[in-house]
Amino acid sequence: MIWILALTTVVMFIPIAISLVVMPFLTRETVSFGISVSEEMYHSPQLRRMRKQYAWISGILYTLLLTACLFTLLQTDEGGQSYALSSYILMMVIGSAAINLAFYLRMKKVKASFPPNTIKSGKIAVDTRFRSHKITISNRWFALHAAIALTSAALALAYYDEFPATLAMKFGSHGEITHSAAKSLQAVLAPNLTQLALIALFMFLNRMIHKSKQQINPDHPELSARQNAVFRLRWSMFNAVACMMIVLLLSFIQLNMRFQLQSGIVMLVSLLFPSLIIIMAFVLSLTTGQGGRLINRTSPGGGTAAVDDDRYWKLGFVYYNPNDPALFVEKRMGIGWTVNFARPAAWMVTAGILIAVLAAIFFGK
Amino acid sequence: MIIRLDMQSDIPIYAQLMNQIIEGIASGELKPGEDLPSVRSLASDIGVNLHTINKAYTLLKQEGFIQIHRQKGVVVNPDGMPGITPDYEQKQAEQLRPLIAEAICRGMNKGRLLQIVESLYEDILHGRKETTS
Repeated sequence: MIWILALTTVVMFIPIAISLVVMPFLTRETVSFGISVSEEMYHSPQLRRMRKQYAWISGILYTLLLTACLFTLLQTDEGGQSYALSSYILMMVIGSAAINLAFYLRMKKVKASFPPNTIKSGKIAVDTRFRSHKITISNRWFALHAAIALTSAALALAYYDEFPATLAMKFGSHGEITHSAAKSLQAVLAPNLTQLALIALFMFLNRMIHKSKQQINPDHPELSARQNAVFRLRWSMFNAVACMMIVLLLSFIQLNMRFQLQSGIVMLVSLLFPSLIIIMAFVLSLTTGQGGRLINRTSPGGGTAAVDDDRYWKLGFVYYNPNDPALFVEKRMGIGWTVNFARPAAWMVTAGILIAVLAAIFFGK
Repeated sequence: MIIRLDMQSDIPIYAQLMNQIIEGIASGELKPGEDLPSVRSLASDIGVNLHTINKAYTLLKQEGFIQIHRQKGVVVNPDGMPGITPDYEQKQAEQLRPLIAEAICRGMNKGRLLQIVESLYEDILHGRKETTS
């Protein structure tokens, strides 16, 4: 059983590590380590070297960490394993934050050394028809997810008597039960409540992808708008598929409460689904790039930069711009979207998601 | 239609926006009855205050280029564009006068000036195409 755990650790963390390593190659060509640059600067030998260096340093770090983690995983007992895994995740987070911060600060100095006239540009472009194209899938698709959750709940209620008196709630890495609860309506229906909360969260994310600020390149706006539309549509589809997998997984967990399936199968399924979601996100990141810049790319455009709004990007990743009414914007580092923390709504959204996640954990207990 | 704005230009954003929309209608890129983005959505896409967009839209509405409906939102005026009114002729003369005066001061002859007007007229009528791709 420990081999399943080790294997899924590798399957889950290698894509994450690789996406972190190649991150600077996936961002927009107008951003380098969280600092706005011109495309000309982005392709300069100096920044090319910096990206390579970033990839090497982070690559070596994550390889060492993963090796150390696998080693302890195979050596130590039950208690040590969960400890090794969580400290590995923690070290990966700290390591990547430290590397990013170091390169952000260095990039700031490098930018100051470039002649100022290579950076200055205030041109922006917006497409008035952008949101009338298909940029996300409809939220109606989530009716399918809700139907599965409600059917599961109805079946659980109909066959409530057949659930055993004590329900297995948590499993160790060998598939043995580490935590169980007395049978109650709340415990039996907990997976369904989690499903509904998650469906609401994913529907919200889908809206966010739709609403998020249009960021297209003024040098080739038509191409860039098309790329961005495909980028959003693909992530929106990914969202729905990932949500479906999590809903199915939770229904499977509920099924397992009733039938007490073989522990090997339970382990495999509950580790396989998250792995699949991570691999899908990995493939999508590598094929689309931030803002869709890797989709149907032709020759890079002219040398102008995006609007220089570095001062609104605290440490290159926290967006705080009171002058911008946009709530959702593209991330500077990595792939996806973030919020404008100068808007009170951004805090409410963050709090809302945190509460939803905490509630899911609470009901899942 | 792609609206291009220069955030560092001396021309205020609302005026740039008005000019771009009128040019879009002139070139046929914006069709009568076509939807324009809502004030809120356009403000966040451009990254400017809601009032800036509101001002541009209100002025365009006053002049009759667009209509603002409570439910349907903002649309390019489907009932046709405003005609040539005496008010417009007066405004146009006021705007052209200093331009022509400067051309004369700089020694540009009438033929060249008319040539420029003609080429710009053709340019706008046929729409600007994306130059780089």
